[in-house]
Amino acid sequence: MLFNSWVFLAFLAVVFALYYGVIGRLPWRGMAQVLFLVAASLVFYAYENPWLLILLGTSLLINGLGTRLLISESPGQGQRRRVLAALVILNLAGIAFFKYASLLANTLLPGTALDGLLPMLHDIPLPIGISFYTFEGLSIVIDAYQRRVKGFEPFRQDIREGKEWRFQSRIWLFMTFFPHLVAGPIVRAHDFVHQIGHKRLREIDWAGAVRCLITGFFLKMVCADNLKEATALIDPPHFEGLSSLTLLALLYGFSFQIFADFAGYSLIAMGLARLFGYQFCINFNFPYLSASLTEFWTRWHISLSTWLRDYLYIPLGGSRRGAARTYVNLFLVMFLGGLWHGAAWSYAVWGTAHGIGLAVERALRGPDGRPKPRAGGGLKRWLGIFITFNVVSLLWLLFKLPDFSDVLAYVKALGRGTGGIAPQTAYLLAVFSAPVILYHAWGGAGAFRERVRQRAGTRVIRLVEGVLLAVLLFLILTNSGSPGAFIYFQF
Amino acid sequence: MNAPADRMENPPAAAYDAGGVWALVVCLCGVALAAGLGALAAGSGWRAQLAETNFQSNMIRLADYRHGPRPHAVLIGTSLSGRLLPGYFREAGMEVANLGLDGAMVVTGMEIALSRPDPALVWLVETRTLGQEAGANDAQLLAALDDFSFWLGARFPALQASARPSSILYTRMKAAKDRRTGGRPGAAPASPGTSAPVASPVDTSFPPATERVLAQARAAGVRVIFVHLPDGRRVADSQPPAHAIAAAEARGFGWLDVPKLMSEAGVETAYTDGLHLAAPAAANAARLIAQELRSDAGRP
Repeated sequence: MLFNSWVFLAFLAVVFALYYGVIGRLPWRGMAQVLFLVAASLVFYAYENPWLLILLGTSLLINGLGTRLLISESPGQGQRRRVLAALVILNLAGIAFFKYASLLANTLLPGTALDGLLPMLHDIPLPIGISFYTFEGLSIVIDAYQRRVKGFEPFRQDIREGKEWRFQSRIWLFMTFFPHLVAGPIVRAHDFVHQIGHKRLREIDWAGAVRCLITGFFLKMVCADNLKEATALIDPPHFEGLSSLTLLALLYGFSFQIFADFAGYSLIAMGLARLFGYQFCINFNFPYLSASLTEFWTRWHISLSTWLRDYLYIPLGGSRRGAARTYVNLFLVMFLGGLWHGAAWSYAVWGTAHGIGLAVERALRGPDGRPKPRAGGGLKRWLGIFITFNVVSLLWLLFKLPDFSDVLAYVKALGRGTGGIAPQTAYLLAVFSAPVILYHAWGGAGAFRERVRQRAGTRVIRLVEGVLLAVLLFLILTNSGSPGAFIYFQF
Repeated sequence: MNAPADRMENPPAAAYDAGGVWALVVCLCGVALAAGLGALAAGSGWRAQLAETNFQSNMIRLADYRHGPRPHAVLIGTSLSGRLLPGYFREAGMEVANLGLDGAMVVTGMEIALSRPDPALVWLVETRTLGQEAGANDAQLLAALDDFSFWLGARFPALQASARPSSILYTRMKAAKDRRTGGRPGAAPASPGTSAPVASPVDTSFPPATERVLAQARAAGVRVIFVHLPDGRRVADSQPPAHAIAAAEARGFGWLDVPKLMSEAGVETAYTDGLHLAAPAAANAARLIAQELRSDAGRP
């Protein structure tokens, strides 16, 4: 079910009304609301393909029971370690089979062995959201194993009080809550579990929810869905006859589109969560204001980059085991992070290229590898932003064109130096990229914003923000593009 | 990997005092703005005729045809036909709807033309992609017809593609540019006469889907006229496709050769991009087609 569909709107209205109007008034309303949200999330997930529930249900069962075992005091350290290993393997086996079986077979098996196998592997459906809920499952079992993570107190309380169902239902809601289920943000148990409980209508953060929802839907439906009409020209063979200027403009357009699409989704998810009384951490922090790739990964898909840091980079040794090992870790983490996005080598190359960039930046920074403190503005920073944006945009080609020969042909055509751009394409790209650029400009003007806030006062700021959001809503209603799925659904 | 910046928590809910009222006012203002645009569009005719994307251009034409009054005739074709706006025909005294679909096939236009309970009486069918089968773009358009948004657009004009602010701006900018430049003249053919009619027997069959829709149109009493439009060449060099002429004759359909009409009238073509007619040339073409329809020419 797509957030930008009428079916979802109807689903949301019904779930919202029942959640607060009926379930929230029952005697055992806290638990009932949790179970109701789990049930609603399963309906949301199974709407297109009910068979996928089997996989999600298995994941819930394994991670729920596994977490219960790991969090309790009784088993010894050796047994706990074995349980954790089994849970990690089971989680990874699921994603390996459903997402990477075809790629692995193509790579590892000889050609003759593939004749009968490949058609079967190609027919394996990619369960929507598997990359996201698998990572969430892994995070909760690893956190439970480590026992040192904050925010697990509600789980321990459930165990102390012998409330097994409440314990399990918390885990189910954490993993299935529909706003984040299919395309993130990748929620972490210690950020979420302590929020679970009885929710009242009067406690809804309406302003925050509306702010997130309107901005998110605007980015997705107005910016991304309109830009996609232009960036369709990047697909072969359309790009072959285009001028260098057009190709460059399309490349930038795709950068803005993928941001608007995914950041839009994340904002919608945050807004929806707030409607039900929950809060998610932000997933994007004006990423195209990054002056380096290192900074970019602190601003883009933050929930993934922190997951990779906490569950892969640091366990591998991080930067604590010497320079050579640090670079290996960087490559490995970014390679796997690239592959997480899709079962194609182009994604791995994309991740590795980012890994190389991170390593080069680290080497340039000196022996301690720590980023030097930066001034807030200055020509150097702007130059860094310009270079980083161009590198990131160029690498997005690997997302758009899975075939390497097409990527190379596109880059070659970029260097032809021919000018001119069709007015229709220029108009489309300019009009629908502009809001993304302004959004980043707003993000980059933190000090200016603060000065304005101090001078004008909260009331004026709120009025201006209200007018702006009303205009965005007006544009969502009147100026949306052709409806389409979110880019990150395929991951 | 360097540690990302500290995870930023969302502001606490308590920070949004009276947020509910504020949020409600914001939403009401957004809806009111949209309603205002709808009223403006309905009252003043301040609407887009073209759009910056193929999909939205097509949605404008689809909505005009499906939601508007029954037209006398409909021009069905590709983006070449799309340039012959209903307004040009209206200036020539005739109500002709436009189903010139950007990036879609003629067969889809005909299916959409038939989807009205009271289809137009005369179909002007562009011959350029007449023999080609529908693709992904066509499927997207047909799906859009069944979408709830399209149904809603019939009731709330602000939600139609022709009320998109960006498309209204695009239409005005394009019209201004066309007035300023007037378009470029047609090109000489690379190999003159390559598409001239041939004497040998010509296959007059179409793909099954096209044959089916043409049969349905005939059964519904529609008068079908195949139309050859200027396609980037000078009018004197333009050659009508032999296949389409033979197909029209075989089925008893009418036939209009617009470049020939323009040549006879002493009107030259001008193109915006080497293929699509610029506004003045498109208006001339529409005027000549309207004249032909009035004089009942093209009837076999």
